[in-house]
Amino acid sequence: MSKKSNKVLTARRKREWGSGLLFVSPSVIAMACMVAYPLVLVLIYSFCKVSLPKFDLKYLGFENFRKVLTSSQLPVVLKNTLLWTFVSLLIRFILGFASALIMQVDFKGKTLFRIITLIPWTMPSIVAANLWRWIYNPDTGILNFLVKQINPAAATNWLGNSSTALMAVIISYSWMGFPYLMLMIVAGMQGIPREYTEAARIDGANAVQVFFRITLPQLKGFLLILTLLEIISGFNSFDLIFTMTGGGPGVATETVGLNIYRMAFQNYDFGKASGMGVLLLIMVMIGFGLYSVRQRRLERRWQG
Amino acid sequence: MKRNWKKWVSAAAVIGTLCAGMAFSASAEDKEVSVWLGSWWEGEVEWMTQKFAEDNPGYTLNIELQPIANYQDNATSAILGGSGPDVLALDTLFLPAMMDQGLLQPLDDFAAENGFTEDLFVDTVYDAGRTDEALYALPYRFTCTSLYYNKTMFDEAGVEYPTDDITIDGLCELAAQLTKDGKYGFGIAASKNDMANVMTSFVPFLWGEGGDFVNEDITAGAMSTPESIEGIKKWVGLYLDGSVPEGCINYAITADLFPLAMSGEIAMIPMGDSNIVKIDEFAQENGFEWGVCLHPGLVRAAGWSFTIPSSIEDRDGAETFIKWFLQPEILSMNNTVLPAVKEAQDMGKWGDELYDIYKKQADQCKNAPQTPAWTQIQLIVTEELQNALSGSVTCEEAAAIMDERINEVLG
Repeated sequence: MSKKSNKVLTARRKREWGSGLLFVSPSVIAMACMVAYPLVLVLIYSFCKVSLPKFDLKYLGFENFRKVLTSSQLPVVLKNTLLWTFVSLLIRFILGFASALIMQVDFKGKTLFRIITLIPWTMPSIVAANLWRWIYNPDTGILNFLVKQINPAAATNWLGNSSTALMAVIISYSWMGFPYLMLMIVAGMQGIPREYTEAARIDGANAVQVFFRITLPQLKGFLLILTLLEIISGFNSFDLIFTMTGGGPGVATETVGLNIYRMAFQNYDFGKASGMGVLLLIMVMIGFGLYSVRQRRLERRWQG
Repeated sequence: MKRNWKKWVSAAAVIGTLCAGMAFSASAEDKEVSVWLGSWWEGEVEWMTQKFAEDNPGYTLNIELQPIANYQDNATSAILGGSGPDVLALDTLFLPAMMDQGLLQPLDDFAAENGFTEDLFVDTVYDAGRTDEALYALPYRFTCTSLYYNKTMFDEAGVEYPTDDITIDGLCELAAQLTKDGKYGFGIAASKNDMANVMTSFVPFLWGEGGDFVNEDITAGAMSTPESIEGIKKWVGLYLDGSVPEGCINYAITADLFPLAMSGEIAMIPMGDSNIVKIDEFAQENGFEWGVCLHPGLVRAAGWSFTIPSSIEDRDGAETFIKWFLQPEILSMNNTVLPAVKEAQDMGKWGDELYDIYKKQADQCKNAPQTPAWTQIQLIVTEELQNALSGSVTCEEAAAIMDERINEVLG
């Protein structure tokens, strides 16, 4: 290729790049304002004492991180957050998959089933929280009423007992969120070509084999994204816990999200809250980093 | 020339019309005063808006009702975001931290110019709005809790009604006597998502036994003094003995205890002035009798005050509203809260003998410690009280942990 044609090509590429950049620039600016700016601010605040109302800053070095890391409540709060995120993720996936599979079958009352399963997702969290508070109420709640019919000794104060409170709120949270996963999984399943399952059935595969050998591998990429979204949502959400137990009894249901909120908006310690936020971000990034490395190794092994 | 004359007249007519239009629109554009009040003021909005516009030509009132859940956090976010209201109503418990953070404007000059002197108000609520440096809040509501009891339940149990001289020990004994057949003698509130209620429920026991949250100069925790521990033990003891419902660990007063008292499940609860009318009407409809007496121990002086957020540059509207609403004849027109202006307490429906008990109780109440660290102290005390209630720690251990954590916050 001649030098002249090379020059023409480079000029054209430059023009294309220029117009491409022009088109994406509004999104880049929007992302910078919406994501990067707050992130940078949180990072700056985490190293400072923040004085209201003008957000005056005084550099403190790693003092906020030291305070967060030496807090006696940190181990419990971290444990609660991990349990809250991953146990609810597991329950949501089980319920989501189960109802998505039911959706794949034709039966009478399928529309009604679909409506009923979607109700928890459409409910405002404050309403759902109060509904579950009533269900778990040890004095007048329906759960203890039913438990007492079977075994009166098993009735307990579900939200008032340190050993049952976290599991109780996790169940409520899972109940609220599983319809979203169900919808996504149904959408994913509809994208799997019918020929695959039909071929497997002709070859004699049963329903369980079709699920594990066809459905699940086909949804792999899709489920990975869903898992990431659910983990992020789990780490951040606290409104249900806040209404149901306020993080109690003691700190039995206190999570990192709730802790950050309390530090910032009730104690007005924006520096410490930012420090905790940054630590949470680092923790999540390390988790995702390790997960990505492992995934790549597995993919290479499969390809090799 | 003739044509020019016509042009000039037309131009003058157009300019005249425009000026008249502008003048008209200026008079039509009244100054809007935005006020944040709790959602329980819903029934008062209409008359307040009308009366304010009548009494203050050139101003319109925009009352924004806010739910109590996250009220302080929402107010803080609004102020920091520059969208705070002209007038912000605040619970006395919210004041120390917000004053300390510079979120409120001083009101000394405004109060002095308009004669809002200390002696006009219930002193405990007035004191909650000032620091050594300045006055930041003018109270409009005073409230405290007295002891409500269901006479019918007492009659059925053959127990004598409580009287104004009842002690904390007497209350505990009555609670135990009245607890039977699935009914409870008393109710406590320990919900972590309504910590102000926990304090209302707990402080009569703490202060009644001579204990306190912090020492006198607010430099260290005082929860592990023998008096404080005794107060904790008596309050927690009610729960461990089963004299209060099991769910109390997550109960708030109005949201949970009040309905149980209405339905005759609980014989006695601490009750504020705003619920006393409701219970009176409900009792008449449902055929039971009730009574109210002084709560034993010292109760928490509670109240709400008007403040002007630091985000407000033009204070004119805010000052006009506060000046107008704190007039005794206007304040007493509200049917929702007992006024903090003494003169208004004897006017309108507030002069009814139903409210006498709260005026009497005012002599047996005091403020929570006035420190910016109060929100954190309140959280620490609530968490450890819950731990003691759930049996995770003993009362002594809870008290020691409280002091350790309070010292960390104050130190």
